[in-house]
Amino acid sequence: MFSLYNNGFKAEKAEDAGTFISLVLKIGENYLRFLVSINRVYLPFEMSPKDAAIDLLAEILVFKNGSFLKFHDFFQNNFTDKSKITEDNYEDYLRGFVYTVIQKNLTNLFKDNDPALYHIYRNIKETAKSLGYSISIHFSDKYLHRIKKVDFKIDAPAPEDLLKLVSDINLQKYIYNTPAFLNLMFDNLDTQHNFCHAVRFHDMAAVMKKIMISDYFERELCGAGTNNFTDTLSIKFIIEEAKFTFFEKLEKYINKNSLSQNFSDCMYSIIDDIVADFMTGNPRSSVRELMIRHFGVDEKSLFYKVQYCVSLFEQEVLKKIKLEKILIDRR
Amino acid sequence: MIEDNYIFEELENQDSGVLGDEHSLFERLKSYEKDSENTDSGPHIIDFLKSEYPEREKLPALKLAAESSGSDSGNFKSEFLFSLDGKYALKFTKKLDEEIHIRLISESELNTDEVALYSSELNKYFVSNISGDFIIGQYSKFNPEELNFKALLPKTKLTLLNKEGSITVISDIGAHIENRQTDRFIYLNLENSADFLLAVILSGNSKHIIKIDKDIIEIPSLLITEKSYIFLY
Repeated sequence: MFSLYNNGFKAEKAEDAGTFISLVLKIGENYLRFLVSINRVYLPFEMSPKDAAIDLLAEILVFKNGSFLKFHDFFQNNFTDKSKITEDNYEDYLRGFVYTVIQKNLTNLFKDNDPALYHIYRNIKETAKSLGYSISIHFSDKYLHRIKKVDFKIDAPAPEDLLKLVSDINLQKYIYNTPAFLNLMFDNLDTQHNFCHAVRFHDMAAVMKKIMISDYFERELCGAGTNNFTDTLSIKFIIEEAKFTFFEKLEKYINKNSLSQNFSDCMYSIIDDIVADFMTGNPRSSVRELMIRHFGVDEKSLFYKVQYCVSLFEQEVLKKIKLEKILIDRR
Repeated sequence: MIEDNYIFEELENQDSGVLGDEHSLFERLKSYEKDSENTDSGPHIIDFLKSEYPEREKLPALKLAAESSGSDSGNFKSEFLFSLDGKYALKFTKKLDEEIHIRLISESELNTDEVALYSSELNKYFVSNISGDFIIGQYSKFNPEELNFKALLPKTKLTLLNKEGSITVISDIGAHIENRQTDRFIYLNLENSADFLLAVILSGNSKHIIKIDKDIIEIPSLLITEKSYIFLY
């Protein structure tokens, strides 16, 4: 397929175009499948990595007048020194372009399929834009930062570091004021020396999602309506509803990945602990703590699976809360 | 908003910090790709046979069948046919106008929208309507109690993008448009792919069986929308 690049992405035969498209699609599908497996990307539940790759790459795969114009333009505009791209490294450049397009378009997948999460992503992005923040695109995620040039040779904060930072400076109260939330968070992060001054977009959204859920329960349980029987009932109802839809998804996930009965049992216990924390207004234990408590091990590949399932549960809770809010607003 | 792209740097160079972590993830992806090259994509046919009814305790789909019976309306009671592993059920409901409506029920990851049905007794393929029902007409002409079915799952799926009359085929089998298109049809070449029994186009909300002859699919131009899908079984 190097000849296609040499030819300015003009395909002389329709067969070559078909082969090129299948190669690009495979690159995109494998990439998404991998990111899902390491929990860097969450796909709307019914969507397969292949379907997602088709949706995200469709715009660059348009083949018109014998040419893949988007590929031609990208390579022409970004790599003026043609001698850098050789037959040996060409596929890496192709991959780089495909990964870039996927990273840029990824949040669009949620617009119709998961509006609650899409809303969080859009909110962060629009706020960051209005505050003059920068976004850097990396292999597995986009990174958000306030200073223009970040030293990416230093590690980024893990989700747990972010949560700790948020809790240390009591940022939870700004959760519905995204500009203040971001500014205060970076005021603190930019003074730290053990992390680079940027956060992963996906982690940022996950942290905000978690705070929103905790905040909802805290307000309903500890706020004005502490002893209000109806509110407590409503929260229980939300949790039960979320657990119901989550357990269906969990079973599918377990069957699909041939996970053991032990995994299933431990996950059910973990969810029970999270719910208990919600209901008592306690801060939720970290995924790692929960994993060690119930599985008795601290293992990276298991951690990704547990984190995915916890994230799936919180996703369901968030959806139910959003729905509940809409219903309350309509009354 | 400034968007710096570090992907190309990370694919090439091993570094420390974020750059190093991202590079090792890329290396992991390459091994992941190698490991998943020969992964079996699972069966493409599910048998529903009258003669081989699974044992009752091996019927996970029985619960679903029971739940769906509760929603039956009208004078006709639904009947069920279970797959050999008991995970899937076909629900049969007779309707007034000589029609049997069949619905595939499952609690697995199966996307039932993409499934086609085949009956060897009728020697006919069926695709579902917008509600997910497969419809068999004129049931008084045969004995519906004796029908066996195979549910076919697509071996692959193609996407057709139509931008101002220029059609792009997105597939993982190298399929492409043949030059010999007419006003009424376009022809897709599947490039010596595996043998396919059936091709179905999803155009808007409706599905249609289209002609497939060895490696060539004939698609009526009228069925091509801005984005259409072809399921190959």
